Amino acid sequence: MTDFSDGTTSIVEGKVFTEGTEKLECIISSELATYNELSVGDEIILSNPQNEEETYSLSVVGIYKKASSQGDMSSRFGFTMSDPANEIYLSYSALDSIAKKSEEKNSDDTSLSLKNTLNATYTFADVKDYEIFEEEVYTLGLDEKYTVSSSDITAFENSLVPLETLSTTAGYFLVVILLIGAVILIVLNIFNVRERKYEIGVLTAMGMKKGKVALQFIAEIFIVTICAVIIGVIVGGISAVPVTNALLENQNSASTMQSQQIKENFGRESNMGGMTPPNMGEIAPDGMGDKMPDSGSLMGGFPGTQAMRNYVTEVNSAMSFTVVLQMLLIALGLTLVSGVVSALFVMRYEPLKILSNRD
Amino acid sequence: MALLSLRNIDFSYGKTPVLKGVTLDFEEGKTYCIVGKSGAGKTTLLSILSGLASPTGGEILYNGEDIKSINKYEYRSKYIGVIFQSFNLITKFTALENVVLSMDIASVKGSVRDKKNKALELLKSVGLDEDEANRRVLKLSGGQQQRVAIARALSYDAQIILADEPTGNLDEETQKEIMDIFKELSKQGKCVILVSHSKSVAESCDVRFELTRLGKR
Repeated sequence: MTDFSDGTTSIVEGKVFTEGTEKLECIISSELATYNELSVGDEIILSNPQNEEETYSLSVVGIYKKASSQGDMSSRFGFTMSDPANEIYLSYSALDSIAKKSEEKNSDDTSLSLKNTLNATYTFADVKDYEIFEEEVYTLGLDEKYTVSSSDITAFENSLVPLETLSTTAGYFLVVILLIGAVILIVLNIFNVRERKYEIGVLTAMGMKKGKVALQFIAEIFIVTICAVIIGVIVGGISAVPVTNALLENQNSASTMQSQQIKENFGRESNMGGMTPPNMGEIAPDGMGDKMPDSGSLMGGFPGTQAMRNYVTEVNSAMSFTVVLQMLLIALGLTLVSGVVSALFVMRYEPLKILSNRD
Repeated sequence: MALLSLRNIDFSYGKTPVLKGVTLDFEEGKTYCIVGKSGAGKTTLLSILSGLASPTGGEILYNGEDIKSINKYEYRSKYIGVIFQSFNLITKFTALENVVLSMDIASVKGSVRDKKNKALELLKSVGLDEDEANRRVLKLSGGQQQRVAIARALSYDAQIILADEPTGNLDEETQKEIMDIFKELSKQGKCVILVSHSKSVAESCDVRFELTRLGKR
C-alpha cells in the first residue's frame, strides 16, 4: 500500500474498500479493468488454484492507476502472475474471511485450503522496524511453525559478505600490526632513552627533576605521534578508498568463485539472496520456503535470479571521523605505553653514575 | 658563619671507604682548592658538595641548614653552580642555549629575550663573543667549552661555585685566564671551591685542603 501513500498509485475511479468489514470488496488496476471491460460496481470471480470449484465473488469498488508501469517487463515476458497490473487489493478482514471460508470448505483436505498458500508481505521503513515487528509478531500469537524472514535483509547481508570478510581480515591484520608496532615503538623509545642517557644525566645534574625530564621525553613522543597521525590520516584518507576497493574486488572474485563452486558441486547456492524489492518482510510457514514462490519473482524479478548475488563492489568513504578518532586514540594509547616505559627508564638513571661512566 | 660546612663526612663505595670524618668549612668571598693524589676522593667530595652523591655518614650544612631538608633538585639548580671536569654541556645545543637552559632549570625570572641577553653578557664576561656564543658547543675548543661551563654555573647567581679540575686540559695561558675568572668571582662574594692536583691552581687559591686516602686532612 506504500504506492498509494507515496502517490505513485492513486484511485482514478470509485473508492477504496472499507476496512474492518468482511465485505468482499476490492480495487483493481485500470489495465485490468480495461482488458476485462470491468468498471466500478462489477463483480469478479476468483477461484482457488488448488480447488477450482471453490470460488469467491468480489465487488469492484474502485479502480487505481500506477504512475509508472513497473510490470511491463514481466508482462512482456509472459509472467502474468508477477505483472503488477494483475494485483487486486482487498481489506485484511475480507482476505481473512476468505481464508477461513476456504479452510471450512476444504476441511476434508486442508492442504487445498487457501490459507496454506497465503504469503503475507509487510513493508518497513527500516531494519529497526522489521526487528520490532519480528519480536511482536510472535508475542501477538504467531505460531512457532511460521518463520519471519526478509529476503531483502538476507540479500543485503549476502552482499556484505565480502566486505565483512575483508573487515575481519583487516581487523586481525590491524591487531597484529598494532602489537608489533607497540613492541617496536617501545624498543625504539628504550634505545632513544639509552642514546640520550648523557643528556638525562646532565639535565638532572643541573637540577632538573627526573619527572620533568621524563615528561619531556613523553612530550617529544607525543609530538612525533601527532605528526605521524596527521600524515597517517592524510595518506590514509587519500589511499583508503582505492585500496579498499581493490581489496574488495579481490574479495568479491574469491566469493563469486566460491559461490560458483558450491553451485557446481551441490546444484544450488548455499542460501537465498539476490534481486528482491526493498524492505520486504515475509511470513511463511516453516519448511515451506522452497515450495513457495520467491517474493523477488513475484514482485517483478526474474525466476531464478535469487541465485545471483549483488555484492558490494565499491565503497565511497573508507575513513570517517570515528575512524580517525579511533586511530588517534590507539596512537595516543600506544604512545602513552611507550612513553611510560621511557619514563621508567629515565627515572632509573642516576646523574652521578651516568656522568662518571662518561668521564 | 660558614656558607657551606661538612661535618664528619664519611663515604664509601660498597665496603671500600673513600672519605672518613671529613670536616670542612667554606666561606663567601674565598677561593678554596681541594688537592690530593688520585683516588684520594677529591671528585667524590665534590659530588657530595654538589648534592649528586649522598654521604654514608655525617652532615652537610648550607647556611647552617642540613641540605637533607632542602630539595636536592633545588639545591643543585639554585644554590650550587658546578663546573664538571668534562664540562657536561648539552652537545647539540649552542653555548647560548646551554646557558639559557640552566636559567630555565633554575626558574630564573624574565623573558626569553632577557635570559638570552643575560646569557650573552655572561659568555662575554668569560671571554666568548656573540659568534662563539651561537656556535654548537662541539665546535668550540676545550678552553671555550670550559668558559661556557663557567657561564652556565654563574647563570642563576649561585653563591657557591664548584669546579672539578677546571684547568685540567687547558694550556697555561687559558689556565691563567680561567683562574682570573674564579678570583674575580670570589671578589664578587662567591665561594669558589676547586678540585685540582695542579700546584699552580692550588697556590693561587686562598685556602687549600689536602685529602689523603681514607679522608685524612
